[in-house]
Amino acid sequence: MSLLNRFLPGITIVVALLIWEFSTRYFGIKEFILPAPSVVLATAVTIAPELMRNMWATLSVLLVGYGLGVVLGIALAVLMIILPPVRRALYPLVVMSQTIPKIAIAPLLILWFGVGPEPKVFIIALLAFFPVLVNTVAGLEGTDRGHLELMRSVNANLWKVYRHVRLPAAVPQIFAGLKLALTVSVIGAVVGEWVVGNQGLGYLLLAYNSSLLTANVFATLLLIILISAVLFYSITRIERVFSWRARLDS
Amino acid sequence: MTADNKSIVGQNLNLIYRRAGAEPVAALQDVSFTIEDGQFISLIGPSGCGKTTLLKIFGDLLVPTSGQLTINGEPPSVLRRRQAIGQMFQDATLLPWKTIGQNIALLGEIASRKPPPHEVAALANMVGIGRFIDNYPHELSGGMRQRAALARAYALKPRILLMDEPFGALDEITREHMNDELVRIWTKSRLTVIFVTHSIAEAAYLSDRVLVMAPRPGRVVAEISIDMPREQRPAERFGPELTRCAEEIHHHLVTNMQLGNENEPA
Repeated sequence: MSLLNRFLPGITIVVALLIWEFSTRYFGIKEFILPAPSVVLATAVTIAPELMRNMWATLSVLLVGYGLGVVLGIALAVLMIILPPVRRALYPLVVMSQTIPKIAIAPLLILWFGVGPEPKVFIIALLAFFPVLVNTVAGLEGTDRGHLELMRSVNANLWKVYRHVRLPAAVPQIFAGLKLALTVSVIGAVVGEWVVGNQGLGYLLLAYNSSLLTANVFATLLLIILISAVLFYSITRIERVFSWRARLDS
Repeated sequence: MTADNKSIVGQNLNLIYRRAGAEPVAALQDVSFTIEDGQFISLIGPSGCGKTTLLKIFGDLLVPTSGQLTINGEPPSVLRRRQAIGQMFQDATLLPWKTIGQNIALLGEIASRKPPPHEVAALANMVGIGRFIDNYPHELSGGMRQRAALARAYALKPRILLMDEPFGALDEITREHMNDELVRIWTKSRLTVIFVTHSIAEAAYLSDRVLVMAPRPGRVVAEISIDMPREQRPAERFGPELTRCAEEIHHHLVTNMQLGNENEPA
């Protein structure tokens, strides 16, 4: 039973791939409409050099934008908790910035930042920033009252309260924010490359699609999924080192 | 050192909560007392009698509206800034991301006098959790966690120990055992303890003196001294002497309860 449980996610994927493979053959679906998984895989191997080259372009804007969003999100969250007026002043602005459709302002971003990696980094950072901020604020606010009272009983200063209590207490929630931010960052990177620039996996997707190279599109998608999975898994590994809750649960 | 410097004196302590659009509430009214240094004092009374409020004034977590409290001649604020007040709460308030040893060392670390490992080990042994020093709090029972909280308070080498129903969440059998453990540890140090409790038996068993409190307004209505020597108490836990003390506490609680109820609109 536990063995089945363990392999269940893998089994679902294999079954889905098999159904996909056989139905494309059985119904004779044309390759440019829906290529079989075997074709996608073969294509991926053929275009691997091109995929790799563009993957690095995407990864670099993704990681820079994500890192920027994470640092800004955590810093602003701490500032908002320490200084409530900052929170009152900035929260509406932050929420408004999130209601703007990021793609709609892409032309503006090109106008401001040019056609290099900057507008993409900006979009990704803007997307990543919000879930990190909201989750960090919630985590910092959720500090146990008893722990705070204990800190007060020994006259602990602000820094020590953060270092020993508030930040460690917020770590599980911060990681929830980091994971959410990662998934939206990947979307941001791909969509950003659609709109801006001449390289990256998002750009590649658009180029393949307009040439009806559907197998290439699928191969690119496969790589994007792989990248997201690897990054997500890395965060859970880091979480296990830093988050006491993840340690308790494991 | 004058006699005053060896005692804890509360003079006409008042604490009044004022809220917009509501009658002011007297959480404490004219509370006065003198406590000798090194005594074990219990505060007992029904909910709303201000015993926790009074304890928080001892700890400088609340400031009285009027009146004065001095501990060995100094106000609580000075002691708190010197990190000389040990606190225990109903919840052990251990940090779940730190081991028991790290938790014991925590407050000393914050006070910039982090106890060395051998001292932490000695404290853990003193409270009987020496072998759990590398465990995390969730791996320990409620009673064990309170032992760790006691060691953490002692690590500060405090002038006074404030305990707010520390065994209130434990079952009766564990509570009795923890009472004996507390007496054993306390007897070695003779630290002044202010102990808030709901339990008459616990107050009678542990204390040198019991301050009985009543609500609306929060005040001290009786002081009962318990003179039986500590070493006799375990054998006499249900003996005539402690039973008489418990009855006296009970009597004062009940009398003032009824008065309080009569004052309330039906």
